[in-house]
Amino acid sequence: MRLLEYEGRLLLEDAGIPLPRGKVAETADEVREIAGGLEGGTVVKAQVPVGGRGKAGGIKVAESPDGAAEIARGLLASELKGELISKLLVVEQVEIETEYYLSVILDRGRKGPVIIFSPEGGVDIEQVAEEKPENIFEVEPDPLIGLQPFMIRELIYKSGVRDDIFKPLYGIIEKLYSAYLRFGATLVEINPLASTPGNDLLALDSKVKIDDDSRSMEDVEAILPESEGTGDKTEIERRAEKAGLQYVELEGEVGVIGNGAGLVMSTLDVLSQKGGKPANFLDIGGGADAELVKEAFDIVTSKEGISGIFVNIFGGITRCDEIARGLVEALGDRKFDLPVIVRLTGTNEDAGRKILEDYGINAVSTLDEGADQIVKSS
Amino acid sequence: MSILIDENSKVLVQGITGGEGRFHSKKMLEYGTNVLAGVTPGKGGQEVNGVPVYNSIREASGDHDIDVSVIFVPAPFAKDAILESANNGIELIVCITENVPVHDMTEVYHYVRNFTDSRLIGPNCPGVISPGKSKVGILPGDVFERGNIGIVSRSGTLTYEIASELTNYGLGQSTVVGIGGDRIVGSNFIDILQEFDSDQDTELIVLVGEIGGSEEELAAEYVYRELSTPTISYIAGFSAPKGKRMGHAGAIVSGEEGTAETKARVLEGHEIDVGRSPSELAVIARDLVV
Repeated sequence: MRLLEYEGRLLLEDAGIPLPRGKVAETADEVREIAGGLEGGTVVKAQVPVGGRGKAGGIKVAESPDGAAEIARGLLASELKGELISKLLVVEQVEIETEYYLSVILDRGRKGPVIIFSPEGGVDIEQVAEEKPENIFEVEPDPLIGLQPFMIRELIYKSGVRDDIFKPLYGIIEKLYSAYLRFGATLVEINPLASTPGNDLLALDSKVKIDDDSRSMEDVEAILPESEGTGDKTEIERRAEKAGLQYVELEGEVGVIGNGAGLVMSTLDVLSQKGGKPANFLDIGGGADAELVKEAFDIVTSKEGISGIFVNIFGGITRCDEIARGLVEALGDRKFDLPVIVRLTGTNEDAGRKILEDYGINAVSTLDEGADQIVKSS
Repeated sequence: MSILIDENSKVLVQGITGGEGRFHSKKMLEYGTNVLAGVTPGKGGQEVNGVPVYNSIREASGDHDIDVSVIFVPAPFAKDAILESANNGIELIVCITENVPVHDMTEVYHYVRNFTDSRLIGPNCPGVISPGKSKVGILPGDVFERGNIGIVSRSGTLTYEIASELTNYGLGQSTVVGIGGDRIVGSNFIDILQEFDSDQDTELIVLVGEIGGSEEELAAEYVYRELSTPTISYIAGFSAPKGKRMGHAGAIVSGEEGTAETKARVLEGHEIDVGRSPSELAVIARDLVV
């Protein structure tokens, strides 16, 4: 789950990481009020889950509270890189001397956390890694004994930063790593981490991702009482999440339901190869009952512009007759005039086929056959 | 022969009194797996499907010689269950549980590998089957047939799909291993490839990958450099959008890393044929074996 900037800030603040003062707002009036409470200029930042907000015009500097409100009116309800702006973060403008980069990331390859520091902040870290890899410094905290003081010292000394920021930097690295652990994060990134003329370090922008399975979800939710969970989900995706279904909205028209993430991905691929355009990814998981199947069907068909449904089930723990019952229930309530192609194989296949037959659907038995049929008929 | 498990494997079920543990221990027994004991703390002395339940692995080990444990406990307890097995010297630990916190897995991964002799498969995996001999996990037994193809996969139902395509061509399997779809799993492709390569009965290896991470790329290089057994592959997720988690915690494309195209290109670059659909993969396998 990727947090919006203002949500991530709340976690970092709780972890004791110094931030520029500021608050989130939803209206131009609120923005004016917040800006009025801050000294000097303010920065107004669109809260959308995309990178490169500055370049895209989503981050603007205001000289006065009225100026901030003016900017807010321009940004609110407009779109930035395809994302609707409904919230703005208003923070004090600070004088910057140097911009650094600091993150703790869960590295899949190394199967554990890595702390990355670069004296070149404020730009995309991937770009630095590519152009000046000598400016990227890393340390791997031991997953079992944790981050030791010598590791932090090594990291700072090898990066060659000025002595006068050693102490604040040391403190922030320690706190950022604790935040990573405490919240069950997979990424906590500060970019830029800016030094001010007084040699203070401030986290000017940040990005936080929390493991969806984190043990600390309650901790996170206590700090983000009104969290929208993740900023980058659509309405249908949120509805599916509530039902316990894995749903991802795609751009095509053929609704897809399957059991098992790999099988559903494979279904989308085969469908695309045959010229179909999948409207979604939907995994009903293992052992789904009729009720869940019905909900899945309703969710898939709630997207506009659906031209047909392809249900691909390979029964293992999932029983084909439960699937068939759920489908018949979902279809029964309404006159559904779109083509529905069902592929059923595995546990209780015969019983499932019988239920569908009685309703007037002839289930197919292979993925290829099902994909061919749905492409032809939708 | 086969890898990891065979007709002699002696199995213990952790979380045997729960719904999943109860159901699947029955299925495993029906398949012929030697399920000798179960563990649920506080439920020692009961019986499930005729299998005695103990409070701890230590207690169970007093009465039985156990070499495999399979875990069905809820996600918050998975770390503890794995560590209990590993600390009691169980050789093979298969963790079926899904949604295990990734931070738990960073600790478990390094501890089990560096400080114990156990091999961990999973979490979030369907388990292991050596058709006709033993199955440990939730795979539907009747999809698989005894034979000479080794399958290693990050997926569950997709593995069944591929196995059934192979079985339809009369191509049975030596062992099928689902390593799990999470970002950090106990055994990686390379660990299992290595096992298959030293198994006399495995004549062809099928590697089933999906988007996310770079395990397939690492495996491709390893196959090219080290393996003598012919290897082919299938990758799922060509039509997956960037930045979206496609069901599995590990199945997410970030930036250019982890796309199905990249993986297929790297595999093919290392002389590993990649089927574009499960049926195409089965045809490649058939042509290689015949």
